[in-house]
Amino acid sequence: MSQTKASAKDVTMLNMKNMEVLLFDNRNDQSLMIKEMLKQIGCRVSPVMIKHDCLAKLINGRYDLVLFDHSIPGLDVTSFVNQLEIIDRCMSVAMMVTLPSRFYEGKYGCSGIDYLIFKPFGYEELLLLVREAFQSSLKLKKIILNKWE
Amino acid sequence: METRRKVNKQLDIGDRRKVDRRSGADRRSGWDKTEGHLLRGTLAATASMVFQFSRPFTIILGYVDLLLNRSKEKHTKQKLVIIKEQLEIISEILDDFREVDNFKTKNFDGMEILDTKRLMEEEPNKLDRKIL
Repeated sequence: MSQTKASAKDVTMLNMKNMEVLLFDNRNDQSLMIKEMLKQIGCRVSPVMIKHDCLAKLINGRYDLVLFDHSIPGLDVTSFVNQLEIIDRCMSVAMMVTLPSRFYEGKYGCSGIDYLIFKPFGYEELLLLVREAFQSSLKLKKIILNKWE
Repeated sequence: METRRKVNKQLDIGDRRKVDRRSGADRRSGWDKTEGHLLRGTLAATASMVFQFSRPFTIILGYVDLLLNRSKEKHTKQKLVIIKEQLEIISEILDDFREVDNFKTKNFDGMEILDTKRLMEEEPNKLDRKIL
């Protein structure tokens, strides 16, 4: 019980500075820029370029947000998101997209993707996404901890 | 004489192209089918353009933001603000292309160009546009 209480306290003490982001992008140029922006926001960023590394990192560590690019060649988005949900349900999942929103609503409306961020985006849009994802992840963690208590 | 016939034939073909080249089935179904083809072509072209532009444009916009946040020199900051304003204009144009859902053209100095302007009430707010 005391352990659970300590965890709950840890969760409430969390702030944007502690946010762990896993960035999955196969393009180094875009990944470098997003990593720099996330660091400026105050997040801790782990960039990965292949799916295997992404899943391995998720199994071995705790992340608040997974941000991945829709245009990664050969990536089956639905199956990937299902795998993410199996590993951690509290974590927010955001996908960087380019096409019209109707395309994604129809195709991935029922999947576990929490946020779509439309390219091109800048610092403000990324900050907004991180803030929303952090709040959502925090809420889910609180619900789970309350269930345990 | 033969050359003249050929010229006449070419003119005929040319005239026919100008008039109506739809098949009988298309004629019976009216103009909807043709409009549908035009819309499909337009959607493919606009989506392709938005898709190709998005990555390099995101990288440029991101680095401009990073430089703006770090720069302390007044003149550099002013110029970066101008660059960012222009990038935001391009971003809005790309948004218009992304949201094209009907085939409409407008006349620009005698040339038909795609009309991407949406009605004011159709424009989504900033939050809707960036994050769903």
